[in-house]
Amino acid sequence: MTRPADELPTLFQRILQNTIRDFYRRTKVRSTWTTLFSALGDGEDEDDQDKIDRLRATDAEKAKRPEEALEQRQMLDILENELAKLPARQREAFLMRYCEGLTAEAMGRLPGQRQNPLFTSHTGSGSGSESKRNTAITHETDRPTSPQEDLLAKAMVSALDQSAGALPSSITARLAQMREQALAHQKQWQSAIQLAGQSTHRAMGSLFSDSFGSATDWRRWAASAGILLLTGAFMFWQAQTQIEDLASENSALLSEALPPNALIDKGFKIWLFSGTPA
Amino acid sequence: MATPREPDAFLADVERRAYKTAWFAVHNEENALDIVQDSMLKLAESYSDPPSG
Repeated sequence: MTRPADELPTLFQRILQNTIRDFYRRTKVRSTWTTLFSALGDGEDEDDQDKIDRLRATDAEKAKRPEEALEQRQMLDILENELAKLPARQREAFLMRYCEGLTAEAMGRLPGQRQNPLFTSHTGSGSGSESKRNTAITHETDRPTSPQEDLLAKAMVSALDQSAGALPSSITARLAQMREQALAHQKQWQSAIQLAGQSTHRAMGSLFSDSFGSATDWRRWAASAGILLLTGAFMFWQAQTQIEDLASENSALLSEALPPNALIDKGFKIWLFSGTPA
Repeated sequence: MATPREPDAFLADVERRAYKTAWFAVHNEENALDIVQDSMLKLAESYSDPPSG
């Protein structure tokens, strides 16, 4: 009844991407992808800039050694610069690749390998902009990733993962609640499918095979066949009488003698003899 | 064959990062949560589908 479990990451990633796209379509936020990472660069959105600053602060605090903190800060700086260079469409592609990175990670492949999931080709997005591909992020799978690109990928993943790990408990609680709901929904759905399958099977079975299985079923079968036959006969009889009625009406109209008034009417006489209406 | 535990464990594993991804996409907590919830429900539905054929 279920799909293999190794399909789950890919499936979920696609669903998530489509849901995000659907959200954009619904809300018609055209500029969202353009402003997606703008907070990283120019800080035009105060709220987002705050969040990024907090993210940086967390990074620095979490780092045990000062040079580690510096390294992380540098990585985030590179990340910002690289992302700022990207056209909107490629920023979208980058985010989608981040999703793919999560998928690959969930399947046991980690970013930083040659087949870096952050930088593998992404079918569907970025098509048509191949000629504009001028940044580190946009090359195809076969080309080996440069250290800078690897760094960027790792910075991206680590930044997002760190902030994901440091989510407030209100969010994580709601996420867990959603998961429960989704799984309950899955069970309902599954049993609905099973029920539908069973009842269809039963209905077909009672019509074609089980009916002939026992004497009672045979009688039921005969009774329904009888009713069907009677209904058919009644409909046939009704159609026949209707035809007969129509036929008798027609013949009456055709054979009926002309009314006396018609013969008295002068116009009718003229019409009769001239062959043209008066 | 997958057991009901598998989607549970899988979602528990990815839900935070899925939220983060959605948040980066929409820059809004409620919308991001909505997107994750929608995605989870859709996953549950399509995961319950009988395999074709």
